[in-house]
Parts: sequence; structure tokens; C-alpha cells
Amino acid sequence: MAHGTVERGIAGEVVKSALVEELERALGADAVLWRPYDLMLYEYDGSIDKSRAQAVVFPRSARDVSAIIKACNARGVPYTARGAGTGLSGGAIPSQGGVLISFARMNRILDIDLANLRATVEPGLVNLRLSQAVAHEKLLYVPDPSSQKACTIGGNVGENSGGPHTLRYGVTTNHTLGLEFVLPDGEIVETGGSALEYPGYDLTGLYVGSEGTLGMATKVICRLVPMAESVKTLLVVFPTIAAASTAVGGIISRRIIPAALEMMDNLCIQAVESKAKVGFPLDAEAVLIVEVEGLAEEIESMAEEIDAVCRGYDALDIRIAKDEAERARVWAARKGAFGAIGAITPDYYTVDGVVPRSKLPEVLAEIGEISKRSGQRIANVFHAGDGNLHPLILFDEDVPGETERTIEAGADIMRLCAESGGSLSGEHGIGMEKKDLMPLIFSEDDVEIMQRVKRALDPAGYCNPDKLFPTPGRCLEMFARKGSAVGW
Amino acid sequence: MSETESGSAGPSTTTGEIEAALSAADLEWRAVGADDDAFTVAGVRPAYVCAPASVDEVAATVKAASAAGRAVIPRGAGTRMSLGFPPRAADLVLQTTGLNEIVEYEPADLTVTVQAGMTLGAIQERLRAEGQMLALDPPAAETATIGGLIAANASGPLRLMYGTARDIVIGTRVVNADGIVSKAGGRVVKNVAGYDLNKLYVGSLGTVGVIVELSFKLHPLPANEGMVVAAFKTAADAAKPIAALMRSPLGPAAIEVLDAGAAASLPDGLAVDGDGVVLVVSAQGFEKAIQRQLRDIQALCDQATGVQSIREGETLTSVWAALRSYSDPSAADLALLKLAVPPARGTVALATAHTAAQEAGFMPQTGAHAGSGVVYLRLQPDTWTTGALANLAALVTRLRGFARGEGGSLVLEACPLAALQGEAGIDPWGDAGSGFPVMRSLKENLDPKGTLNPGRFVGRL
Repeated sequence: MAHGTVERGIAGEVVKSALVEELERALGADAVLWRPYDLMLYEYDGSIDKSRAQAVVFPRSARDVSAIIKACNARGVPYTARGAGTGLSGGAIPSQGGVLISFARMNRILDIDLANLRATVEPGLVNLRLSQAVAHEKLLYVPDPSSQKACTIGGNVGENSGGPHTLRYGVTTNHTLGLEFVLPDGEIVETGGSALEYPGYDLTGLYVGSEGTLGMATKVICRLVPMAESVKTLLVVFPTIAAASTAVGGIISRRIIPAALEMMDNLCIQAVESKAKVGFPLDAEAVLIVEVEGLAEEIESMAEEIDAVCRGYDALDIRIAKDEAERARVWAARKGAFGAIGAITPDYYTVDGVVPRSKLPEVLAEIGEISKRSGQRIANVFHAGDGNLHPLILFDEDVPGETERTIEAGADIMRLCAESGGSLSGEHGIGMEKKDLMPLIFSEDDVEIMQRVKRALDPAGYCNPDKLFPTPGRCLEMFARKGSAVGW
Repeated sequence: MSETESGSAGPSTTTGEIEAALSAADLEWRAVGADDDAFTVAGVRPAYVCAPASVDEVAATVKAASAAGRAVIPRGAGTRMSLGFPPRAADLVLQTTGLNEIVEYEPADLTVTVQAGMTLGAIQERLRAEGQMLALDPPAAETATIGGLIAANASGPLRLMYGTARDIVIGTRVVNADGIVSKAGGRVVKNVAGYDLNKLYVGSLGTVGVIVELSFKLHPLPANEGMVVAAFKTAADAAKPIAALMRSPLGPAAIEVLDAGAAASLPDGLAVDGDGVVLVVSAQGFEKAIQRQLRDIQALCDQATGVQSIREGETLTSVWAALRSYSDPSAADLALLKLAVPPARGTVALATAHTAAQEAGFMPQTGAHAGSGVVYLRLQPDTWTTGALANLAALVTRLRGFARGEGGSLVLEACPLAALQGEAGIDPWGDAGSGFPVMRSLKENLDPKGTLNPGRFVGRL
């Protein structure tokens, strides 16, 4: 236990470390968990890895966070931020132990500024709560990860999260206007604000997506936008994956940027339909969910165009959700797709990668080949409009060899994304999971410049260590750590 | 100190060393003559000018200068050299105009990768052939290089619909201060691998790296366009329809407000006088939607006079020209103040700037990207007398206080050189707030020797 804060007494009983006592004095005893039994709940996020902190603390303010960080620094103990723990790349896992800072108690909406379309929130606020809080004003907060019922705004900021509706409106960074965050030296800084320009480097933009390695956000100024007047959701059935993925490019080339453009393949359709009857045809090789938004006058034109384009690519059937209830069912099915897959396989591994839109047909065909080669079934459900793939590799960790084959298939898909000019992650982050794959798309010099930025903010290196940067001397390894495959 | 100074005599080397280093790297360079002020930066004349033809040559140039302890001033077409403090030193101007190729353009991906020295005009021409555009419409786009525009974080009226550079840059290749070449982001529209250093480079004025290549997310050219122009007695009267528009689902492409001075450049019949303002709202997209928008926008302007829609032709073009000229920093003997406030306070900021400038004895031209809360105040007196300079300093102080009180900021984007000099010299950036120590640390870690644009950025970084 390199950074132990829990110590054993003479009789082997667990006793509080000096750091835990200090944290309790600073924040109150009800703000600190330190018994091993309590800590076990915080070992995981939504990814593969796990690691136990030696204390979990629950700050209520930026000053609390500052006090925690200063106490950690004084003892040379690392610390890691945690929102809801829904992350898929290990960003919230205390991989070197130390203190886990949970933002569960910093979950308030501090201000809603209707005139300026801004909301100031604490990082522990659940994403969906913000849109719910402004829905009666016909406003919304755009980034809508599939986990939005659980994930937090602070976690979204850390990972620069996306979601289906970011095709047209952008991801978290495009909707984050300012931050208060606690630096790794414990100082509290404010960046950005309600105005759109401030002199100096764009620290807000630099912080978003830094995976909790440059400090701890304690306040987030979010952009709100008016809801669209009209929405039309089309469900388009295709005979082949190739036809569906070619149609994606066809739609975009017609000067239409849909609000969302999602694809599901047959395996995924089967899984979804076995869970809830949405009406996806079971024999379809692929469906596209295309949502267009705007003024009533223009979505008619857009829907007509999309209809024409899809028929040109051999669409078998085009259905338009006839009311809000039907539209909600389609989206519930899409956002629940991962869960549905979970019901048809003992374990699955979610891969997050990006390819240029024009490469989708060949990349999806190659993923089919990877599935055949590995012998593992792969389901595809993803943000087709921006080329953000989410192949789900199905496996059973109790069957010898399947875990290894899954790992290999995942790495093959990552190589495929890199070779096609894409990226290792569209919205889940690098974290622990993919850090050793970074050399696939970044040179040593690229990484060195990122390291200089890290050192500029966190010279001591206690702020969420062991994330994002490749391990020196280790290369192109993914998930092949300690054989752990629990909780995928 | 109104005379041109010669480039700093850097303490660490003699001029011979940098000449030797540049020559050893097989680079083309030339010495700047004593009467050649074409490349002078805020009164500081560089010793050398170099226009590399490739990324490798840029890297070699920066490496040579850095090794010799010399200061490098990155430069595109020079349309925004007025931004910032005078440099602490300017030994070598590095012109990027030799980097002028499209690196990769795949229309189906709606992305493009270009070299930094291309003009935005040339890029748009290529994209237009495919029915696409780079959604950035700053002034002087025809002549300005894309690298310079991104380093200066320039924007225009369409920022309301498409955002600014930070929203469309998806990848950046830079030559860092010690001459290493690195990239951030990539060529795909969605990407969270590694730190988003694109955001660091946008608006960094070349102080942490010389931008040599940029990848952008593109947009389709709008199918159609229309505009509503309306005159109001005061800026406050224009605030009501703007507020309603911002809360509506109409989604206009731009909401612009011009005071009488800025409106003077509008086509005949659209001008106002006194404290009057002109509101211009642009609608873009499908024809049916535009008709609806124009109708609804006109209805919102019920307190205006002279409301009209403009659909096409020369009038539309010349209104756009006026909207892109009030924030153009490239004219000589110009003071250009940029205020940024929360959007709903945009018209208040416009009126405040207009009135304060008049009280300071100027004839203001004030224009606002009103939906974004960004206001430009343009001052061009016949001569910048000592009194006018003092009035400018007082005006900057007053309006900066106002902007900060609103939760915003003020940057002096251009001014006569004398206004920046001496004891009473104006700080063009203002206070960078509690984040400044982080900014300083970034500069120190990324450019420890102060090679790139030393002294020009916030806090004289």
C-alpha cells in the first residue's frame, strides 16, 4: 500500500491514519469514509480496472476541496476526483490509492440566468437534472450522454463527454463557458464566465477533457439553448451495414446536419427488441435513427431529403415517429442498447473509437472480419454521423481464452481506427484503459508537449496520476493488466 | 519613444550566431535594412525576416533562433499585428505565408486540413466549389492567413450560429518554442484523446507555439439567406426584440447592432443618426424556414422604423461588408476596443461605449455581435493629439471598469503605438484574473527561454 492512509493496529485492527484524522477534523467525520468495507464500493467505475482508495471524502465546497488537496500534498498522497463513476476508461479509479474525492454532495444548481442562457452548477449535479430544471422554460443543456440519468456534469467536463445530439450542437467543451477549479497546489481559480471572451489562454477549454489530471472543477458555467420548435425522428431500415453507412455520408452531403444520426446493427437490434418491443425489424441488417430539428417549415424539407437519400441507398423501410411517445421509445431503446446487450451476454467490452465518416463502410466491414477472426460476436451501436464507433465485444470471462481474444479484438479495432486517420476515443477518454495505446496516434513529441502542460499545472504529480499518458517503456497494450475482467 | 527602435540587442549572442545558425540549417533569410519598416512590430524593427517553405523549415528556424537566445515573432499576412504589448524583443520575424497548401480535404467528411499560411479567402474558395465553408467570417478574411486568424482568435457576425475558432478547430500542428513539432487533436470531428491543446493555441498569439497546420470541422453552405434591417431610436429599444429572438427557436445566423457611426457604412437609406441604432438579423437555411424567420423577426421589431427584409443582390452584400468592417483592426491610426459582456447586456454595453466615447471627445463607430455580447468601439480621430491619447487611456479605464462590473472584459485590439508606451501606457489586455498564475506557468513550461513573441501577451508573458 504505497500511499496508505489506513493502518493496522498492534492487534491487526484497522485504525485511522493521521491523514484521515486530519480530513475528519477539516470536513467533519461524516465526510470521510475509511473503513475497508466502505471503500470497496468506490473501487470501480464503468470500466475494467479497479483499485481501492484509502479514504473517500465528500467535500461540500471549493474550500473543502482545497483543504483536501493541501492535506494530500503535505503527505505526498495522490488524489482522484469521482462523479457518478459511470466513466468507461478508468478516469475516476484511484489507481495508486490515496484519496478519492467524491462530488456527491456538491450537486446543486447555483444559478439559472435565463436572460443570458447560462446555468452555474456544482460538479456533482446529475446531467439530466439540469435539462429537467429548465425544461419548463423551453430550454435544455445539450450534451446528453447515454448515461445522462446518472452521470454528473463534473464528470462530463472531465471527460469532454458527448452523446447522440452532439452531432449538430457540439460536445461538452462547446457548452462549458467557465469554471471554478482547485489547482493541484490547492489554490482556487476562476476561468471564463458568462461573457464569451476573456484575455489570456483559454484555460476552460484546456481543462475540459483533461480527465481530472489538471485540478478539480468545483463550479461549472453551462450554456443553455432554446429547445427546437419541431423534431422529427426517422427510423430507416437497411438491407446491409454497407448501405446504411454509405447513406450516412449521403445525408451529410445534402447540406443537412441532423441533430442526431445513430446506427445499430442486427445483433444490437435483436438485443434491444428482446428487452422492449420498439418495432425494430428483427431481420434488418442495420437501422439508422435520424433526428432532424428546427422550425416546422424546415424539418419537412429535411425529412423529405433524407427520405430520398435513404431510398437511393436501398433503404427497405422508412418510418417516422408519429408522436412524442413513439419518439421517446426509440431513444429509450437507443440509450438502453448497452444494457440490452448486457442481457444477452455474460460480459461485454465497449470500445470507443472514431473514424472519418467516409471510412465507415470499410471500417465496419473490417470490424466484421475482426469478429470472425477472434470468434467473438461484436455488436455495433454508435454515433454514425460523427464517425464515433462503439463496437461492443461480447464474451464470457468464464470460458477460457475469451477474455484474451476480446482484448486482442479491441486492440485490433483501435489500430484500425488509428490507421484510418481516426482517434482512440470520441467521448469516453483515455484514462487507464488506453494510455498505452496513445503512441498509435501521438508521437513522443506530441506526448512531451502534453506532459509539459501537465507539469505546468501539477508539478508534484499527485493529481489523478497514472492516467492518459503512456507508461514509459510500455507500448501498445490495452487492458492486459492483472487479468482483471470483472465488472465489464 | 515614437521613433522606430531597432530589434533588441539580445544579451546572449552576437548577431553573427543567429546568422550562422540559420545558414547552417540551410534556411533562406534576409537582414532588415535600417529604413525598412514593413516588418516592424509595434515600433520594434526586427533584424531578420525569414519565410520558410515547409514545416521542417519553420522548425529549423525556431530551433536556430531558440539556440541563439533570439526572439521570434510569428507573422501571417500582418493584419492583426496591432494586438498586444510591444514585444520585449523582436530579432526574427517568421512569416508563415510560404506554408500555403491544402494538406487534406475530403468533402464527405466535412473536414479540411490546411497549412497555416493560406489565406482564409483562398480556403473558402476551394470549399465553396464543394458547397461547403469554414464557419469563420472575421474582417480581412481575403488577405489574412488562417494561422494568424486562429492565433488572434478572430471572429465575425456568424459566430452566433457557428461559434468561434475554439468550436471548429479540431486539430493543430505547431512548432514549439524549442523547435520540436507536435500536434494536438486530429482530423476527426469528435476526439477526446489527449489534452485538447487546440484550445490552448487558439488565441494564444503565437506565444506557446507557431501554428503551422490546422484541421477544421466544416459546414455546408447555407442554401438561402435573408436579412431583416430595422432602425431603433435607442439601443435600449433594440434590446427587446433581441431578447425575444435569443429565447426563440428561430435560430438566426447573426444578430448585429450598429450605432450611427458604424451604420454610416451601410447602403443608402439604412443609416440612422444621433443615438439611434440599426439592428440587422440574418437568417440562413432552407427557403421555407427563411420566409418564416423573416416574418417573425419583423413582427418582433414592432417598435422600429424602416423595417425591411433584404433577400439578395448588392444590398445584401454591402450590408455584410458593413457588418465585417467595424471590427477590422488592420487600418492605420485606429483605436479598436473590444468589450465582451454577458449576451443580454450587449446593447447596454454598446450604448455605454458609444456615450462614453462621445464624452471623451471622439466620434464613435460602435458595432456589436449582439447575440454574443461582443461590442467593438472604433475610434479614428483626424490626429492622435496628446490630449486624444490621454482621453483614450481614460476611456479604456472607464469602459474596462464597466465591462468587469458586468462580469466581462475589455481588450484594446489596436491603437496608436504611443498609447502603449511610457509610464501611462495602456495595458491592452487588462487583468487576466485568478487564472493568471496558471497562464504564466504554461508559458514558462512551454517556452522557458521566452523565444516566442516575448512580452506581447497578457501580463507581458
